[in-house]
Amino acid sequence: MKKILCVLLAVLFVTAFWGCPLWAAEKYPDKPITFVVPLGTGGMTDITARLLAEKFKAELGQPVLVVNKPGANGLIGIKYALGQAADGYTVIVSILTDNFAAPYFQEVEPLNIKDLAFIGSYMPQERVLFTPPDKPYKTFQEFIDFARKNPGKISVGSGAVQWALEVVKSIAVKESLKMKYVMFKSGGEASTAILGSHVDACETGTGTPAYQAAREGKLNLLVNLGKETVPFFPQTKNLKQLGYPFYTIVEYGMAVRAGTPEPIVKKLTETLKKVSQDPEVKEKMIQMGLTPRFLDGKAFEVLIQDTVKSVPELIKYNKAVQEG
Amino acid sequence: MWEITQGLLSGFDAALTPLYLFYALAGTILGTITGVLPGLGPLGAMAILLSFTLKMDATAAMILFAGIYYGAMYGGSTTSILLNIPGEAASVVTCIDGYQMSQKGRAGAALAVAAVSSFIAGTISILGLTVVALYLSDIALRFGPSEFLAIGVCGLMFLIRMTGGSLLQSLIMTLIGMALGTVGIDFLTGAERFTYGINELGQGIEFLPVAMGIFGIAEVLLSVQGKEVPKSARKVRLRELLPTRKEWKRSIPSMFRGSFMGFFMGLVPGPSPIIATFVSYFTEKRLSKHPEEFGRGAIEAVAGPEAANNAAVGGAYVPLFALGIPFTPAMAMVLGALMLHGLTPGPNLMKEKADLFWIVIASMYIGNFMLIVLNLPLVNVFVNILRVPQRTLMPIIVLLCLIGVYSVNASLLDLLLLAIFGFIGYVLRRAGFQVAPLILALVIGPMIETSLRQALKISGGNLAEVVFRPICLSMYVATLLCFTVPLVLKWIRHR
Amino acid sequence: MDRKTYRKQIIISVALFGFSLFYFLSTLHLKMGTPRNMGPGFVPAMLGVLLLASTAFHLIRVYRALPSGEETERSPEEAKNYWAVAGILVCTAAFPLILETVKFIGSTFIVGFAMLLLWKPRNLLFSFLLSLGMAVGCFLLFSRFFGVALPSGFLEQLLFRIGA
Repeated sequence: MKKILCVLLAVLFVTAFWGCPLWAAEKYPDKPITFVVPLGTGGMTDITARLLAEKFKAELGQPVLVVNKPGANGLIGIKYALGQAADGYTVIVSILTDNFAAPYFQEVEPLNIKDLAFIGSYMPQERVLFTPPDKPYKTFQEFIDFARKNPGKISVGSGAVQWALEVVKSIAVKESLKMKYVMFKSGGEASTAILGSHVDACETGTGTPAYQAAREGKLNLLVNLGKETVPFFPQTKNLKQLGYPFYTIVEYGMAVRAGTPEPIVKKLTETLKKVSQDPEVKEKMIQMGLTPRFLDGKAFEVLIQDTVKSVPELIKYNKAVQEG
Repeated sequence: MWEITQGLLSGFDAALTPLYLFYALAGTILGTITGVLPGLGPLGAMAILLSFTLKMDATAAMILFAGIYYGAMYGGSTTSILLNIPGEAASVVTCIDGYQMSQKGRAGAALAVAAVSSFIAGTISILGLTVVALYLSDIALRFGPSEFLAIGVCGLMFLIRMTGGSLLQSLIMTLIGMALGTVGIDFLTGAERFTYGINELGQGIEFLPVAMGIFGIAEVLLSVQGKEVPKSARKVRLRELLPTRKEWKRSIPSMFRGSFMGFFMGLVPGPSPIIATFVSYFTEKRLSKHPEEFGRGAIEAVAGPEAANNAAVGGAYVPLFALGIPFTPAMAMVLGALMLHGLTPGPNLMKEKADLFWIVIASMYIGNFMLIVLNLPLVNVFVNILRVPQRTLMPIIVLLCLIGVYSVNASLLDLLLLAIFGFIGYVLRRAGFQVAPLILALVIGPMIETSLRQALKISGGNLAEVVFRPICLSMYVATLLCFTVPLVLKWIRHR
Repeated sequence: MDRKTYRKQIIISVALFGFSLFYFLSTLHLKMGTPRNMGPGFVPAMLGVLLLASTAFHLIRVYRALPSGEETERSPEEAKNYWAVAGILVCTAAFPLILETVKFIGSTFIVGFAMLLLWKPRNLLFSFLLSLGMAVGCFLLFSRFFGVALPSGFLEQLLFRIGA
């Protein structure tokens, strides 16, 4: 009896162990794909990833599972994904521009562009500086003047994007302002803070509760920290227009591990393009205040390169910042 | 008032369709399953179903999610009572006395009281939701970093004094919990703290592996050791399944107190529902005629906190509907579902799509009702789980803990933490320490630190500005009174 | 309390104190900042100090409570139980270590079977089937029904296809 058991055990062990590629991938995909979201469940990335996952499933005919691996501004999830096989079955869905910027702020080893093969991006997000309507300053210029006359009084919050806060600091450096800077854990938390007037101004992204409140007139928009137009607020200027040296680039996209076969990357890009241009997807995103926009792998990589170039410069520039 | 009644009636009218009833039922069943299985929880269930809900209409999705949330809350209590394994932080306090009751053969009574408690709490909180959402939605906005600090600090005071026994031991457990909470990448500056080069520690030590370890695995270890009372193998009589009349009498006031506490704390951002559970425990202990039973199986200690954690669910929906701000990850999921259906919650939603609001409210009542209908008969089934011989049950529990923890973040580190904290929990409990404060401090500690630093930053280092604000001050004073008044009274009596 | 309990309490108190010391020392090379701009080390340092103080107090208190009574001999029954406790801990810790290589079903089966064996089962075959059932059942439940991504190898993919 024991002998039979041992043999059975051995067989089980061996077959499970080899995880063998007998079922070779002639046609991609022939097994479920995993979307790795290196950010928390319920956040903007997670929700859009799940929306896309559903559509990818319809297009590719295989289930798409979404796995959250949050932490360290996305580094944990990305490192995890890079440790998987480069076979196209593990796809990173994230704010890749921010993931590349984060290590510089945390003073850790930065990610290497060459480690990833970029599939494409599906959505830019603008980071906007909001302020409650009862403040004495209603426009960006008034805000700067007020801050200059009242050094050390203004508090500025951030919805968990260090880069955006640093861009605000760079404005302060350029205009010689002295302000107080506070970081919040999420766009939601920052929204509560600004709606309750616990800070004087706050940057957070489109799609967050603060943004939705602004659409109803509960908050004023001072300036867009990015370089494009803000949906529903075409009159808000952005930092690039105004001639400031730095601005945020927040782009949501997908990537796989470098070394993934070309045809698979191409197939994923095509699928992303098709899905992000799907009318239902577009409609849902626009209603949320997001801008669906597809950029292919190459264009996305260019954005990342811009990021990697400008962030260290931003950090150097900000050494002159005065904190209240 | 009339407006509310009208709204409710129209809501019920629309909600009592077979389709919506089906979703309510499906949600509660699914929620209960995920609540019972360690790890997954309401957040996981909602995340998985999110894409599935795209094919439904918004109302159906909301009903489904509400069912899941309530179901999971209840399922979590089941494992707390039967196995001493908390499904989430809000169930930890239920473990303390609930499990003790179970050890004494009163598992059925505990489960029944928990079920009824949850039902009453759910009803009260939904009623509250209806009223407050329309008129008092701005309350949540008054809470900024200084206020969160106040909540955290006051909650901590209650936490330390909550469990009986040595104050020093309780304090040590709390401090250790807070210390563990500091591990990880410092959110405000990006610096690495206590990570020693292990990348995965960057996200910090999560609640789940520690809770499953300290409660679940340690429990298994203690059973093996033979230090736990062997579970009764004889068939449980119906009489024992239900609470006695005396037990009912003692629980009912606790249920109401817990409901109100839970609801109001649920309105406020952060881990307030968790804090509500131990404030409730503390209150019940102070008000009870049998305080010596607390920690050994007092029925009020199950009724109060259970009501609190269920009522907090309703409370948490208020800021979501009224302001569009989610205060917990699960609410963020609900928000996501709404947004994917093209609805943006906020004051506008209440006015424009009032019918959606009322249908959802009505379904929450229905879901709550279904829970009790579903779960009271199941008490018998659940209690019989305890009759499974230990040698089979324990390995199953360990496996479920392992898989459950893995299913959340696919993290091998989490699994190792599970084993490590299993050992630590075993050692601590054998030494007579109460571990509940440790795990709760792990959750609250970071909130306190973050709020403190944010508040000081905003005020420019001015501590007075942080403390002397109306809401904060009232909380500090109230807490201080809670602690000093009994002492003063005792002193007067001695004179 | 008796000698054995006393010894146990002392060891644990020392361990707690040791942990506090370790924690406090670790906070020293973090930036403290100022009260107005608290660095990452400020709050941990405060916690460290409080921990040192409280665990020190506790150690002193335990030390002062002198033991009395006989040294009770550990029964063989108890010793066996300690091995079982260790066994379960090893199984639990082993799971993450083998999960990636042996994949889900294999690891679950191995760990489950090992634990069942620790309890001296009467029926070996039953334990075998139970562990196998658990492994496959959990895989199907979590992977197919809940959509959780579990480490998959040959066996898992086979099951996935059958399920699909």
